[in-house]
Amino acid sequence: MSKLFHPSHSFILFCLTCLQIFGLYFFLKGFLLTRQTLDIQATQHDVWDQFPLYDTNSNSYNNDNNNDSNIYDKLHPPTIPAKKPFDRVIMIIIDALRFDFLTDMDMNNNQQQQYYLNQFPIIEKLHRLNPSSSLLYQFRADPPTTTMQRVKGLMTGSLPTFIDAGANFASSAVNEDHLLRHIRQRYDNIYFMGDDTWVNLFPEVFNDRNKTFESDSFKMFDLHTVDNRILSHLWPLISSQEEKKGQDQDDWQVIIAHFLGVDHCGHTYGPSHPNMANKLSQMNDVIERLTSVVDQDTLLVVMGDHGMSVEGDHGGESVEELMSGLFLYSGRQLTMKNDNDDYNYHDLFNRIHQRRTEKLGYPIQEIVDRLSYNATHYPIASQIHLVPTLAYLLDVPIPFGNLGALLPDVLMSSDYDNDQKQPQNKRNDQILLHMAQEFRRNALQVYNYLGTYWNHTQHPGFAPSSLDPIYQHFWNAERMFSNNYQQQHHDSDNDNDTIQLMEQIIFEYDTFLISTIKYCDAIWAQFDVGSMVMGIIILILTTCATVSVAIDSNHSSISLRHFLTVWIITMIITLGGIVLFKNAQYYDWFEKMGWSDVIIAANCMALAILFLTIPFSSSSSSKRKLETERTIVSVKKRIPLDWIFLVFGTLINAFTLASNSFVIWEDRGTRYIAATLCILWFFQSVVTHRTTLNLQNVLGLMIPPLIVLVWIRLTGLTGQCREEQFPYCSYIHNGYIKFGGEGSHFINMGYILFNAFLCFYFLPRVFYRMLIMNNNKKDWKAIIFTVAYSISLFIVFIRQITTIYQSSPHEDALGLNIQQFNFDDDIYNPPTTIFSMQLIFSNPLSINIKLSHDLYTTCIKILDVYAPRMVYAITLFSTFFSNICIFNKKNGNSASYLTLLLFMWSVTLAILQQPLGSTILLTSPLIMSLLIRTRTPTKDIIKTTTNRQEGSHLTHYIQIALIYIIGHHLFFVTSHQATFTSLPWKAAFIGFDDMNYYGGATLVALSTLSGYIMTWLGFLSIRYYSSQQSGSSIRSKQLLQDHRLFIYLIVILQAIPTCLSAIFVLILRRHLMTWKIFAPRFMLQALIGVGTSLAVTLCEWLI
Amino acid sequence: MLPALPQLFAGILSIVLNYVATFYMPKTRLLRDPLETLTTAVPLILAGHIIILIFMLSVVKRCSFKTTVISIGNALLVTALGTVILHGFIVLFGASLVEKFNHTLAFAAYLAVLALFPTFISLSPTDTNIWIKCFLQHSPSTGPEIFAYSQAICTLSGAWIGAIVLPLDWERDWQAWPISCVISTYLGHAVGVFTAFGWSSFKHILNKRKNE
Repeated sequence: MSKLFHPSHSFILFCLTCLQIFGLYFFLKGFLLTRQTLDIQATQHDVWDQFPLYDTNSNSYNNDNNNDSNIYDKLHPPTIPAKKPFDRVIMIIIDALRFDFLTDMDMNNNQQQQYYLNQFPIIEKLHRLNPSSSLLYQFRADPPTTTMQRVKGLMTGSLPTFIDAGANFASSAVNEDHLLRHIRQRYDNIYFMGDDTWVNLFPEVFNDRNKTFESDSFKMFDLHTVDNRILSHLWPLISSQEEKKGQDQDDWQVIIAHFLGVDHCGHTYGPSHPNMANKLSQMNDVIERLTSVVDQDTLLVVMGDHGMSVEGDHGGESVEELMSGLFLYSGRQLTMKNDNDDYNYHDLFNRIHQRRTEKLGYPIQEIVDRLSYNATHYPIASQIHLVPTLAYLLDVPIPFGNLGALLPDVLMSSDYDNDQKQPQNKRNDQILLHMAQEFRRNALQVYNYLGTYWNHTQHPGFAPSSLDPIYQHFWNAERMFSNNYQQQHHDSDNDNDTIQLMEQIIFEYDTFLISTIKYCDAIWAQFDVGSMVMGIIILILTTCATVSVAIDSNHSSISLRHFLTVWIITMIITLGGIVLFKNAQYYDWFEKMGWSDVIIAANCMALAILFLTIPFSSSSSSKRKLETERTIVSVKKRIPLDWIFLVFGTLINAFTLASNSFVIWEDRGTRYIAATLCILWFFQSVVTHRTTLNLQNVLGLMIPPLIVLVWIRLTGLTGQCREEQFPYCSYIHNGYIKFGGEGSHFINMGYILFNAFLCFYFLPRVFYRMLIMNNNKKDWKAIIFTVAYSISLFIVFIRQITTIYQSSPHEDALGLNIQQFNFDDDIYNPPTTIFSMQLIFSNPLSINIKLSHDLYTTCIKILDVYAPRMVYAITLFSTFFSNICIFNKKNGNSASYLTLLLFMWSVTLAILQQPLGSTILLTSPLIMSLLIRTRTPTKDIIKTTTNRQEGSHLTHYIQIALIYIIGHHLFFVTSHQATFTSLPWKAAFIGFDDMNYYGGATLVALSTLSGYIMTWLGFLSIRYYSSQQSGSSIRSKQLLQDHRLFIYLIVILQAIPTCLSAIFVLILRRHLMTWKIFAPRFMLQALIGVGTSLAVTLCEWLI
Repeated sequence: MLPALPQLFAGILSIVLNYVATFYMPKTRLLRDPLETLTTAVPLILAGHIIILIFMLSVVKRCSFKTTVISIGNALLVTALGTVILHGFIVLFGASLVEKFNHTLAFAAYLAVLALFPTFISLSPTDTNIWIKCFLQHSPSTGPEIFAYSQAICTLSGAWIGAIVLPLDWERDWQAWPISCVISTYLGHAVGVFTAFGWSSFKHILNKRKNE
């Protein structure tokens, strides 16, 4: 006979929690594209910095030459200066400018009318007339093709990732080195017009309100407002420049204009629409007019940030969305003429582009097929190549984190056109040397970046050993360079092979650059679908296992044989599968998973399947033993209908996570579901009512659901609007509540009076009543706790008033004129706090402020630091105390300790919220208690007929679901949303003077999860009541099953959305809204899923 | 012979009546002017239902004049009360109290007429106990009871389901409050009639088997 292992619930729950965590871990490992942003500013250094730089351990370089090399270390080829940098730049970004909008296309009669073709003749015209001063590229974007990510890429030269983990997570500002920062240092007068994304990304560059004219990019259906606004600022600026021509001072040096009309037209009408023709020809006119002001010293850059799909949208990675256009134009020569030299530069450029296209695997044929222009005719440039190219043309340092490679066409040494007297081959040498030198500068920057990145992050992918094959190219180039230079140094004979060698060097540098891009792209921008799928499988199995354990009516044991069979088979299958995938290199699956990960994953699968098969595992002996029992209780062991209903309801509800609209409006959806559950609750309580029904009875049963319903609706009036919800969002938010606003006096005073009533009378009273639990004798513990609770409430109240006061305009409600006190703002840093203190504590007319500086600072200190700390301390103490009491089970009324826990925590959580949220949180324990206590007393029903008995669970499960939904509701009404921008950073400073990393993080987490914490405490209470019943009364099978169904229901309610959310994120991983909507929602779901599992495990372990 | 044949006919008649009164007879279209359409449709439907109720009571059930009048009075009273209560619940479910107040009220009236009136057509005149058995204990047994219960529940569920499309960003006309809910209420009622028919026939056949 095999041994039996009988796992306890807490053990199973613990395992399931671990499984969930591991599932999420694997999913996130595959999903999160992480890159550390290094905020290091690049400096302009000498081209020959660190020359020659190669691996000294390399075999090809032995000891004999080492001495030689030391001599030449400080020697390097001469620096060939570049042409004079441009004085002025006009950067025109046309959102969603697909490349075929730009080129000449023959109108094919077969195709349906395509309004977007041939609306941009100016580009081709300039390209034809001035081939050497205009450059046209196919501009390939890196997916995701959303404007924000693209602008970031265009200016930093780095590849897009989800989490650019850096110092400042809260704001959307770019926190690494970028081109604009360097441009800013060189050019003072930077003007910006158009899409406000730029201002959000680079606030420190566009900080001059007189030179920045940003527009909202959200109004999709409006084609012209943004563009017209840009033009209304652009033309005066340009023409003022023209007037002042000849004068010394320049009015503008850099103009950046981001037009949105084309993109909006695409979104609204699609590309093939007359409006698109109008829009494009308008853009054409803009460019045409701009070219008239472009002179010798002005550079015009016209580009699209991404393309446009056939439907006119973008965000994905189809060819239509990726291929945008880049056009460079200037009054002076931009690239070398293809004159009758003995050396053809254009051939060299073409070869470089050709190699890049091959190396990066751009699908030429697909582009030709789908966009029907000749893709081989124009070079393809990756968007990040613009960064070093512009840096070169403007003579600014290349941003530190750039990965882009120079566009070779623009490289020209200063003596290219004025030094015709030199002998031809000498001249060629000079030019090629200049090119090589600029490529070296670019390569050196990337080389340094890779090294620094490795030092900072220790990411195994950036270890010198992993990067060695890429570094090899760089070292090769350096070695050739230095060898060549040494030779030249020794014998001044001009070698005919120099040109060949220089080409080779350039190609080596270029290979280094392009390989780096390819390598980093794989590491940063590639989802590991294998890992994600693995995580999802584990999550699904865990959810199924939870359901399976819950409905397993026997509470089976696990036999050793069964255990081993399941474990070994699953391990073999999983490992085999992963190894197979890994070896097959199937779409780079599992590339982010190391071997330890693979083994953990296989074990997780085995464990999940083990639990999944528990109901079928009980060995034959135990089965036989149970056989007799089963016949007796088979009637009772059915799974209640409403349990099934709730699980299916959750499943259906979880499908709304696939729709961005439902996620955006989730606050309302939650209320809707909560209201539905309230109605169901009422119906169930009527159905299961024991005595005969009459009107009075029914009304009595109606009251608790109605109270909860009204509470939900009323609290639902407040909240925080997501930016997508505008303009249909009109929450009462904390900004409305202030002193001294116009007309809002009355409501504010009413709110404060209500709060005062709540804090000073109602809540303490209710709390005391609940603590003593109908015992009339005085309980000193209850009194002490009530006093502690009241003190905490008082602190919360004072803080509410202070917060309201701080957000008020400075003239306060009582008619105090602050100005007359002549406060020096520099000395009193937060003056508003002082005034509020004064408002609350003192008679404003008699106080002498000058004398009591110390008093005020002390008051602020007390209010901001010590008072919250006191609340935390009280809560922690009561938590410990009640835990000890519950654990010891020393007296019967542990229920009162659970009440204690609920109420005490509500105060701590309330202090972390804004005023409105804290009021709601303070009332939430009452609602929770209502839900917990008004369950139909199961005890009595057990003894009556079986028919009735079934009804008794109905109410109970729905209340659990309701508590869970209320937690979610509380999340929204306490001014949170499932977005990163709504994280309550302020909460980190409540109770702390300065930033304390762990303390602050804990407080922010507590503030965000307050609603869910209330839910978990509610579960604890329900769990306690349930255990008390099963403990005290008959230990019937039914009750045990009821109990089991109940604990696993809580887990299932969270596990299902977590699992589905993960699936949807996988499916929608390239969706336009992934990073804005689905991913944050998934993170929240993962957080509360794991939190709930942990909380339930803890509950089960405690009681 | 199937049970509750009169109720079935009454149900089908009211489906037709609802359709005609909601989508056909008003001069304004529901999609364009929901409020005007509803204010025309609700009295029409109410009148039609009263006629059906009178017909049911006096012709089919052969009640006395007094009972008929009392039943109609009850039905009207309950519908009026139901409108107010349903309005309250619609607001509790998330509709705005101030904004589009008239729309909400019109929808509540529409819902009340569609959900509550058919129950009187099927059931009245009966004892209060039957009502309690039907609607509070959720155990209708006879054909008329099933018809009453099913129509009411399905209509209310239909109204509930209609709200699901509200948040979607499809920019359709029918997504405006309360158009989708009106349409789904109508559909819910129709589904209710056929459900009741299926349910009662099934029960009828089952009982027959048992008896045999």
